[in-house]
Amino acid sequence: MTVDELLELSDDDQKAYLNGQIAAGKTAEEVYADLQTCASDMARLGFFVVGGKFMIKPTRGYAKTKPTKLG
Amino acid sequence: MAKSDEWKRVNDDGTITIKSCTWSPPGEHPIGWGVEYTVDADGNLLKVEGDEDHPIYGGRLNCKMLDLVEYVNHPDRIVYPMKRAHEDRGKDKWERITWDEAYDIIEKNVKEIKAKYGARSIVLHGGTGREAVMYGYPLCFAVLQSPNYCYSQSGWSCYGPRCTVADFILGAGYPEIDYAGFFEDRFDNPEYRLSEYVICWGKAPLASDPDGLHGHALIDMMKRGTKVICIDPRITWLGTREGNWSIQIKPGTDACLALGLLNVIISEDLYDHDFVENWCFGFDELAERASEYPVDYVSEMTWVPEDQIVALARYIGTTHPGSIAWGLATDQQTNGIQAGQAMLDIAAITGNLDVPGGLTVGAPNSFMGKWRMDTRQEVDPDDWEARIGAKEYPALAFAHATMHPDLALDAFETGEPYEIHMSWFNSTNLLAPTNSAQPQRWYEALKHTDFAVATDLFMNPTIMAYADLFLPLAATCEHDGIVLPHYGRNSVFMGAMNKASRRGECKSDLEIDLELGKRLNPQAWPYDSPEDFFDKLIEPEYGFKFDDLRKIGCYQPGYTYRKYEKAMLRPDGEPGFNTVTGKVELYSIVYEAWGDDPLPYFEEPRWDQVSHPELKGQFPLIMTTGARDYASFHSEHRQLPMMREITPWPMVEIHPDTARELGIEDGDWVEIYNMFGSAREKALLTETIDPRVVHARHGWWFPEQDGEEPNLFGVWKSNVNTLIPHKCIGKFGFCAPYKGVMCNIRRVDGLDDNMSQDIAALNRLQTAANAL
Repeated sequence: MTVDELLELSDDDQKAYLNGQIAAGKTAEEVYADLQTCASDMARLGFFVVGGKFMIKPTRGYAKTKPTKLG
Repeated sequence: MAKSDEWKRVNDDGTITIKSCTWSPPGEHPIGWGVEYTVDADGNLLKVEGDEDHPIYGGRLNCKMLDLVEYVNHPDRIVYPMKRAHEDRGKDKWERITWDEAYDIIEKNVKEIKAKYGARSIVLHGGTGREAVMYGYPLCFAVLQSPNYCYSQSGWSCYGPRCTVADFILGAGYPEIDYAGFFEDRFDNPEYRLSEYVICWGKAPLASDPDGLHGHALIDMMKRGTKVICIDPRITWLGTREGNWSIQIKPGTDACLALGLLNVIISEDLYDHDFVENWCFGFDELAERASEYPVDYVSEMTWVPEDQIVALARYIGTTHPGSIAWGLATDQQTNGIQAGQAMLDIAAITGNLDVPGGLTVGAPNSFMGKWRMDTRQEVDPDDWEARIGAKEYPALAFAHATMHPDLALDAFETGEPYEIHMSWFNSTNLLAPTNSAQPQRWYEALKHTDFAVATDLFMNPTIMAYADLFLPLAATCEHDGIVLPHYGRNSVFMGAMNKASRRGECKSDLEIDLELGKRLNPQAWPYDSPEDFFDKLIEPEYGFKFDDLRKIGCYQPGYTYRKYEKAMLRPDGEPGFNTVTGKVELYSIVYEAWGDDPLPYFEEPRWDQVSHPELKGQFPLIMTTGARDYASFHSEHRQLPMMREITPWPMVEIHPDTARELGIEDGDWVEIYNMFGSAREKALLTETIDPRVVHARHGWWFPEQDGEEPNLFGVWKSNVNTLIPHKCIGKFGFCAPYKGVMCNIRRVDGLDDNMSQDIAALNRLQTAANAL
C-alpha cells in the first residue's frame, strides 16, 4: 500500500491497517518503510505513534490540498 | 432569535438609518461592533452611533469606530483604481483607470507569470485583522492559484502561534474567556456562571479589542464581580482597579512564570483531580517538569516577587471558575509555543476548560473560516508541496495554510528555492513597523518583482514603494458582509454587515475575489453576487439566508458546556478532546513528533542581558513593542486629525529613574537603538514601566510627509521593527522577540535631525548582528 492509497481509506480503516501491521509484528519504522515514508512525513498527515500504537489527529491540518475534516 | 425589518429606516428629514455590525476597513479585528449608520439620499455617510439594541455592545463603540465618518470621507482617500508605470515605482505618478482596465492588466500579468514561472512564483502578502484576512486566502488559492500566502511577520508572531498551541494541545480553535456572548440572555442564562477571575496575560484588551474579544467584556464582568489579574511588564489601568492584581513581569519570561505557577499548584495539591485523571494525558510528566521550576528560580528569571508567585498560584488553584485571556505577548517571544502550552496546562489542571465561566472551546476551524482554508483545493498539489517553508517547518505548515514568513524573505533575497515574480499586497503595509522584522531587508528584496498589486483605501509607504496597480477598497459601511469573531475559530456570534454608504468606485475584498475569480479560475467562483455567496454558505449551516441575518442582526448560537463529556468535539463521535490521544495533551504527542520537547520549558530570551552579558554595557535596557493604543489599528489611522489629536506622535514609555540617568526629559525626542537598528519616538516618562524596560509604540509612519522615495512618508524614522532580528524564532518556526530585545536610548534633537536613512548601511549592520 502507498501513503496515498492509505489516505483514501476511512479514518478507522487507516488506523486498523496501520495497527494491523503492528499486530503482525512490524515496528513503526518498518511500517513507514513499507509505505515508503518516514515518521515526520506521517506526522504531517496526522499519524502519530502513542504507546506503540498508531493514532490519528482528527483534524489533519494543511499538509495536503484535500479539505480538512472537523469535529 | 427575533427578526425585524427595522434594520433600515427612513427618517423624517429624508436621511436613512441602517443598523449593522462592523468589521473592516478600517482595520479592526472581527468583533462586530453594533452600529447605526445615517446616510443622506446620495449615500454619503453622515453619522455613526452605537446600536443600543446590540446584545453584546449595547451601543458602545471604540474611538476609531466613532471616527468612521472622518475616515471614509477623508480627502486623501483613494476611491478609483490607479496604475503606475513599472519604472515609476517609488514616485507619485499614478493615473486613474477603470476596474475593467485594472482587471485586464492583472489577468494579462498573472497569466504570463504563471506560464513562465508557475503559480508558485506569486506571493500574496496578507496583513492582520481586517476582513482581507478572510478573503485573502481564497484570493491566493482560488483566484491566483498560488500556494504562497505570506503573513510577513517574523515567526508568524500574531495569533497564529496561540491557535497552533490550542490545536495541538486541545484540538480546539481559539480558547476565549466566557463572557456569556453566546447566549441571547447573556449573563442571565441559567447555564452560565461568572468567572471569579480572568488572567489578562500579556494582553491589553481595552485598547486592542483583539480577534474575537471586545475589551469591555472584561468591564462587564468586573461590574458583576470578576477579578482581573494582569500579567504585563507595565502596570495597567485594569490591574490597578480595586481587587484586581498587577503582576509586573520581565518581557519574554512568561513560560517560566507559568511553569512556576504549575509547580505550586501541583505540589500543593490544588489541581482538579477528576479532570486530570479522566481528561488529561501526561500529568505525571508535567508534574516532574514543573518541579524543575522552584519559586526562587522563577522569581529571579521573571522579576516577579516570590510571595506574589505563591499567592497567585494558590488563588488560581482554589478559586473557581476562572479563565485566561492569553495575549499577543505569548506569540511575540521565541519561547512562545511553550508559554502558550503552559498557560493552557494551567487552565486544564485547574478544571477550567469548557466549563461555565472558564475557557470556551470551539472547533479548530469552522464555517467561513473552514471555507477559506479549503479553497486550497484550487492549488496544484505539486505547487502546494513546494510551499515555501513547508519542509523546513512542518509544524507551522500543518497548522497554517501559509508560507513561512522568515523563509519568504530569504526566498525574495536569494531566489531559493525558487524566484518570486509577483507580489499582491492585500491590505498590508509591511514596511511600516507593524509586521515584518528588519523591514529594510524586505524593502530591498521586494523591489525586484515583475508585477505588484495592492488593495487599500489610502496610499502608504509599501504601496508607494512597490505597487503597479492600486485597487480601492470599500469601508465596512460600504459593502455587505458577515463578521465572525475569531474568523470561525470559536465564534461567539455572527453579525450581518449591511451596505449603507458609498464613495467612488470602491469594492469589497469579496467583490474583488468574485470578479477576478470569474476571469482567472471561474470554476471556483460559482456565485452571482456577494449575497448569493453568503446564502450558499449560510443556509446549509444555519438554515437561513443572508437577508434573514440582516433582520436578526446578531445571531448568537448558544453554547454547550463540557462537550468533551458529550462526544461533541471529535469527528469519530467519541467523548474526549479533538487530539491524538483524545485528551488534553499536557505531554504533547504532536510537539514530540516534530522534534520539540513534549513538555513546556523555559528558554531565556535570546537577545537580553542574561543571554548576551558581553553586550550588557552597550544595551542595558529591554525594549518591548507591539501593544496597541486606542487611536490606531497598527499602521492605520495616522492620517486622521481626530486620532492624531489623541496620539500625535510615537511615544516610548521610560521610567523616570532611567530617564534621569540618561538625561532625558518628558517629551524629548529619543532614539531607541540596538545592534539591529534604531527608531525615534517621544519620551513618555511613567512609573508604570519597570526601570529596566522601555515600551516603544509600533506602526508609525507620517502621511503628512513626502511620500516618494527615499522618504516614503518617513517610514524609516520611527520604525521599531528595525530593532527586531530576522529568523530569531522557536523550533516550530513560530514566535519572534518583538516583546523583548536589548536596547539603549539616547536623546536626539528631533524626529528628523541627523537621522540616517542609509538603508544599505543598516542592512550591513543587521547582517553583522545576525552573525552574533
